[in-house]
Amino acid sequence: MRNWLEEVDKIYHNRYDRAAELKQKGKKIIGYLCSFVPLEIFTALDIIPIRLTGNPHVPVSEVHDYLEPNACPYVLNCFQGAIKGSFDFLDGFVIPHSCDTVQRFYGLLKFWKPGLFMHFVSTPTVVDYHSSQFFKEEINILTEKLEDLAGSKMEPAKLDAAIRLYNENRSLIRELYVLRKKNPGILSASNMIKILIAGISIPADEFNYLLKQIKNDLNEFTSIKEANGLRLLLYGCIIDHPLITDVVEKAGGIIVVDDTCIGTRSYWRHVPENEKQFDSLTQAYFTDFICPKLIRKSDASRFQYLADLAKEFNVQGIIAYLLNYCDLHKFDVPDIKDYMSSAGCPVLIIEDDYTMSASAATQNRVQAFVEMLE
Amino acid sequence: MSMGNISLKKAVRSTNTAQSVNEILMKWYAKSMQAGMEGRQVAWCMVGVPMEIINLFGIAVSWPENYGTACAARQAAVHFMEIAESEGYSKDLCSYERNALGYCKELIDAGGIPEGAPQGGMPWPSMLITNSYLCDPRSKGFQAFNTRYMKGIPMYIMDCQATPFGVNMNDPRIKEHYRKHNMQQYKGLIEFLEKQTGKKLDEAALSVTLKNTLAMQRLIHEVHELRKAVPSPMPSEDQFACIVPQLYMGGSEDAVSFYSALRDEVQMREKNKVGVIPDEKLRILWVGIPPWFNIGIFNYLETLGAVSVMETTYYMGTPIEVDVSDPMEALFEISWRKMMQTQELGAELTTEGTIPAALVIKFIRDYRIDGVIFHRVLSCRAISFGQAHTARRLREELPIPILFLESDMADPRAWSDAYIKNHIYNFLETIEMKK
Repeated sequence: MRNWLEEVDKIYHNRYDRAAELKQKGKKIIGYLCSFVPLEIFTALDIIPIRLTGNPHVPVSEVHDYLEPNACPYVLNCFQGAIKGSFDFLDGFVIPHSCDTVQRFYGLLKFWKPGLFMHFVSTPTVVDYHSSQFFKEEINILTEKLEDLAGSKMEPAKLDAAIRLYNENRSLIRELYVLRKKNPGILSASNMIKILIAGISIPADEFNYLLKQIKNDLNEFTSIKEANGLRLLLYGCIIDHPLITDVVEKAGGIIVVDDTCIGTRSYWRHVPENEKQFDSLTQAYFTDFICPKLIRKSDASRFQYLADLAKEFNVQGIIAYLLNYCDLHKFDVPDIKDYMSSAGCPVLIIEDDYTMSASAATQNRVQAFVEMLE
Repeated sequence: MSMGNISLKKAVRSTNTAQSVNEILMKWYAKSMQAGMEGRQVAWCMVGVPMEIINLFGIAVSWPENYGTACAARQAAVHFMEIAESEGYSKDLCSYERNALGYCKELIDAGGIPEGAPQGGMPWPSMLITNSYLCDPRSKGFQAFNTRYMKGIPMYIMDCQATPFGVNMNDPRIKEHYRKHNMQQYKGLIEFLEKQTGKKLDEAALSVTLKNTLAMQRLIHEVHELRKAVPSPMPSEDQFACIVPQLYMGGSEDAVSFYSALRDEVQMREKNKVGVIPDEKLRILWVGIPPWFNIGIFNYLETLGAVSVMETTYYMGTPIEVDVSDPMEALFEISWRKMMQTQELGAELTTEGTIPAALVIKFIRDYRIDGVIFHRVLSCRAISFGQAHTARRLREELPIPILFLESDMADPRAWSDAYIKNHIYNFLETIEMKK
């Protein structure tokens, strides 16, 4: 019973071991950032995509020789990892233009680590027909670059299979969210984050196998008592460690759903399975993708998706965990607070340096927020 | 409005042309305000939106970005930024945008132009025009204006894409990929303006304005070439005033006349060896946006025998020749060729207006620089991000002393006068001892 939890923990704590092992066996491994990169392309070409994550327990003092401290601490952490050799098992990196800091990550890493496979996916800001066409061509260019790396041409049947594989993966994750919606006590938010991090660090088919084990096991645990506490939504950018969820849960809150990069934003999408594969990928990874970078309209109704998510998961409040210097998320803060408050869902803003160094103070604030809402 | 830190000073400038900029600004703000009062159309724009096009539609323009510098220079920015911060906008965010967001809030709360607003303020806009070029806050800040304060005001975001570092810009397929998208952005802007104003674009007039832009760029380049002279005929505090026509009056005859006058004046100073100070001991390169609330810091350098003879921010590159007979193609070609210049030097810090480290190294040699001052602007990622990398490259390639100052472009709360002056004093003393 619950052997999967040990397995998840093992992968979470040694998240690059499997990729390094596969590299030894001759597989090509590519690291990527953010949620704009269509993973199906890699898998169809037998390349394994691994999402880069940081380590909040490692200080980033050495990175300041290359990058300024007034930038996203997560990206700085990843950059230090790259410079110090944490990602030396990778054949290279595919980086999308998801924000100013990630854009610099690409250029500076390419400069300081010459010889690696490096590819940048130009990503427009305004979502419309023309930018979707541009993004589609970017997928074409990416495919050609990866074909060169793989030494083989893309076969449509293999891309179809990869699209099905990732659709299954996203569907399995959504099922976990649904199980947690009914009874969050069945799986803590911290363990959910660990599952997601483990999943982005191993091949998609292995992740699906693990997810099926987890799902079957959770289905048997219907007798677990219902969790008591205030139901909360965790909003933010990159949350690749459970420090904040631990703090919230200690303070008496229960995070039942998230709107974060590694969470629902990556898994609330479906790639239509049809012959227009690149159109389908463009739709899922750009046109329909919700990210503060992307601009479709400029009135407050752009946050309706969040109100819908909060309603669907019967949420009573939102914890917005924002990394320092995250311009894209921070410009939205006053409007999100107002919009969600008027939707009956107050928001608590927590700004952090990625390490949760002020965890005691944060816990107090969350506790006060929970008490206020209970 | 609070006068803020009284140790902060405006600059005393050396050239008559730089001194005339304030008058240009005052007229320009007055023109905008007059248009607003008369109910004529006013667009709020960000730098990078092509004035060559906007001006042809007869719209008055206000620039929230420039207003950030104007408020900072008049010690009024803190007032507006505190309003924005009380709304929930983080201190991390671009101080120009925070200044403008606070101004928007007060514009609404006061039911008109806030009392004592510097330069008479910015009138309520009839449209918002921005771009996604160079940094995220350009699009996100305007989105916030539109969501929170200027609800329903039509907005257009020019979303031109820049080529990434190392891409083969000579590959015709790559060029066509970017051409198709970026041309569409220009067309989209024109369609937007035609819809808002009911006027049609005059393409012949656009060709003329583009000719003016290219002429302006040639003149600016001539000025920078003249600035290589010893003693320096024109310091950074003058150049930071003279960016106004470059950034906000592109394509106009007035901008060409301005830089023609500046070139003539700097040429005369160079010929007659008229320096910024009588005894120029040290030549400094300034990297980064200046502290607009305290441009007087450059005069402080001069009291110590040092002149900031060149700067990286707002540098436009070397002049290019482009056939403007098809103005739409020319718009793209100008931007493409500028990106190519950056790629050729090394675009590891992007091709979107940041200065390549290789160019900084070239400046150090060409301008006979004794020391480099990096101004790390805490609320700006776009320009500040990459300074550490550039400094690292300098240390590896040149024996040049480097000083990092940490502050902000429009937020004087980040400025520690005694601390910064002490650093500058020690830095200059060290250079002089080693010289």
